[in-house]
Amino acid sequence: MKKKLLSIFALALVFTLLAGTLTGCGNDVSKASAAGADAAPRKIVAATGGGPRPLVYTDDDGNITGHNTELLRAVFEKLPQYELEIVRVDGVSSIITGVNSGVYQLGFNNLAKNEEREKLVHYTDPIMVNEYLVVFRKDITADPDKDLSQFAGLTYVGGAGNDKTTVIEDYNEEHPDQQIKIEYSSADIVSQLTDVESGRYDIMLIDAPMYNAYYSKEYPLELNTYSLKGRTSTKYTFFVVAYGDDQLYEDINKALAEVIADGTSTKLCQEFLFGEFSPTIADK
Amino acid sequence: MKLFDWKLVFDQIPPILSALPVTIELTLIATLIGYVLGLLLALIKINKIPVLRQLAVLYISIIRGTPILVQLYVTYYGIPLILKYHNMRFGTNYNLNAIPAILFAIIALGLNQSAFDSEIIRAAIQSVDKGQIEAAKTLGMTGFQILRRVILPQAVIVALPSLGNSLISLIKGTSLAFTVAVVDLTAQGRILAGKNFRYFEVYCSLAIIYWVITVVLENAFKVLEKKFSIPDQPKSPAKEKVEGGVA
Amino acid sequence: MSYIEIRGLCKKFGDNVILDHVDLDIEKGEVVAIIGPSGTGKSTLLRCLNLLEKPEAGTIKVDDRTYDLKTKDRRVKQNLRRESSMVFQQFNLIKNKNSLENVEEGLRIVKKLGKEEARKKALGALEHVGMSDRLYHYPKHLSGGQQQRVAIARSLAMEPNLLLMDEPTSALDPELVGEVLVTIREAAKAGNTTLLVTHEMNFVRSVANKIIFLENGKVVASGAPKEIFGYPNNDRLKEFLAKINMLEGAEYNI
Repeated sequence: MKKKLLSIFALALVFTLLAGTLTGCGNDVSKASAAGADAAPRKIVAATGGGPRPLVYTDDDGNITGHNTELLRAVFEKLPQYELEIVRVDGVSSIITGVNSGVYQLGFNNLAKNEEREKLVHYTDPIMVNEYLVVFRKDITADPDKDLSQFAGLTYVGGAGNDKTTVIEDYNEEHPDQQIKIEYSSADIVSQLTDVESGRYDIMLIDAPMYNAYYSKEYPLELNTYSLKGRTSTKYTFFVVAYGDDQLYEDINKALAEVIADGTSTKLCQEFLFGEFSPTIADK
Repeated sequence: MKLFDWKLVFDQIPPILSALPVTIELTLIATLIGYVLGLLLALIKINKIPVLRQLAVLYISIIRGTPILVQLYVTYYGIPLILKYHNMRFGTNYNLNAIPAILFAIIALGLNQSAFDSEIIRAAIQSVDKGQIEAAKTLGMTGFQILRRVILPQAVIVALPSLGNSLISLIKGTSLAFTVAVVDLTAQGRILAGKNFRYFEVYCSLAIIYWVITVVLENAFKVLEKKFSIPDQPKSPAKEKVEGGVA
Repeated sequence: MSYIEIRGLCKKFGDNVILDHVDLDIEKGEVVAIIGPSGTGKSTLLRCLNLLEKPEAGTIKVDDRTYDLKTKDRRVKQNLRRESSMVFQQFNLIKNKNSLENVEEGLRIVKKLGKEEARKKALGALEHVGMSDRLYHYPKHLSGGQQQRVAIARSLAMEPNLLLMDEPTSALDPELVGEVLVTIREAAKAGNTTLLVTHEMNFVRSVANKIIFLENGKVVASGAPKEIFGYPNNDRLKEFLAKINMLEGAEYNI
């Protein structure tokens, strides 16, 4: 009899858990946007990793800010039919996975476009002009006109799932006998730069606007850089949304064009990046 | 650029602590789930209830055997993905947006705890001398009465140190909640460091915070152990009130 | 019509037949002792009567109530268990309760007596076994003999219709055996219907009204102590008694 009671209790618990998860379903979000201006604004959850500064970071009062963040806010100011909510998550992989499965409606973290990511998420029009710099120690000789094979046998440091690391991974795939060693690190950019300077690692890649505008000024280190040519997809960074969310996609691109046209983007670039990195309309 | 800023380590502790309630909430509720579900699983295995026992063994094996990070990821991002395909194929509109992320984190952590705790509890229950259970049966006590009055009080004494261990592990494990956008102590620390890049100092601050929490818990468990244990010396007969033990 | 009637008790462990259609009658207030070689099922017999073991067949009648020992009904099991109390070889006091609480436990939880009443009965029982000065001692503070006396008090406080004693002194140091035997004798004198399994032959001789000799799962001989020890009519019984030096008329008397 005790066994019977226990088994009933256990089955009841299992069913309750199942029922509990399913009751959360059926939240009809699409109705709101279909109904148009009369309905309540549709909530857009935008996920970011919360870094790196100056593109995304949290200020002293605990507010999320940075170039990407303020640009996003400027875009959504022009879209009263949406209500923007920003959440922080632990990294780019969670952002991409989350947008792809619909947990978040938008992702931003100065995201570059690459093939693998494009399969999962829909890239908007560009939000910033970007390029990658190769960063290396002063005592390494490097020729800006030669390709990455000049670093064969040296060690690269970078984050996993990061597009810059993807660049090196792609290179390694195409040059199996001239591999560059990859050290995956989840440390922050300043630590990585310091490690390259000290010789622990040999090279890394970094966003040019960030480095020129911020890092090289705040953290003077003995490093050399040159601009990495050849990968057109690193020319820009973007927001990402889910495939199939066409209305949102169009609305964001339209508002983005306005924000660039009316000079807001330029103002933000100056404020956070001390330079102009807005994409021109023609770049689309 | 200073190599290491000690003052910053302590200055950063108050802002990091703003996320303390989140860590506590995650820890407390997940622990409770762990104990209750763990007890249930232990009883299922001990009483060899058919079907449920095999499920329990499988559950414990999978949940203990996969990293919590993977479990969190797979449920938080995987279930919506499945629902998305279901929606596309059948035109349904299921989603989990009504379920807050912190609930996911709590459930994932709680289920993970239950797998580990159930083995601790099972071993503790089975360590209780069976003769006492026979005596209680012959008195006419029901199974539930025996469990509550004879087995559990003695099993608790045996299980307490290991359960304390398990809880302390959990506190550190809560830092994985950031994967599903829940800002706990560690996440708050990393966010703070995203501004000034003093990651080393922040991690020192976090170490101090977690250690203090652990010390508090260690002492709490010490008190509990004392409360549940049988006193070394019998009370004097002069006392009118009957004390000691757990009735 | 006896007060307690056991009929057709059968128990196997695997292919081993431990009890083979055992019948037993016990009158009210009688003390029946079960003797026999080790491993012949003496303890098992007792343990079938309160369903610590599940017999293959058998019934027990207590007063006017009959119980089928094969029952799976929880209610019936409970009721049967409440007819009897058991004293164990290993005492089996509840370790996280003191003497007083141990005796009160059954009274409060099973008989559902109020706090005052249970307290009174428990104190009385403990006084009868001479443990009034150790009410708040936990089992770990008590010697084996003391624990057993508390266990006997626990059993007696329940006012059972049948007192089962499973080798109550076998686990005790020799110097502690005496105090427990005294306690058992008092319980018997007080009129408790008792079924006792023991190796203490001299005690059996002085306390039991009837002795059962159990061998290979069957009651091979049964009778008053004078008969069993004085004129054993059974070869196996004689063999057994000789082995344990209880045969009167043998060269060495105990």
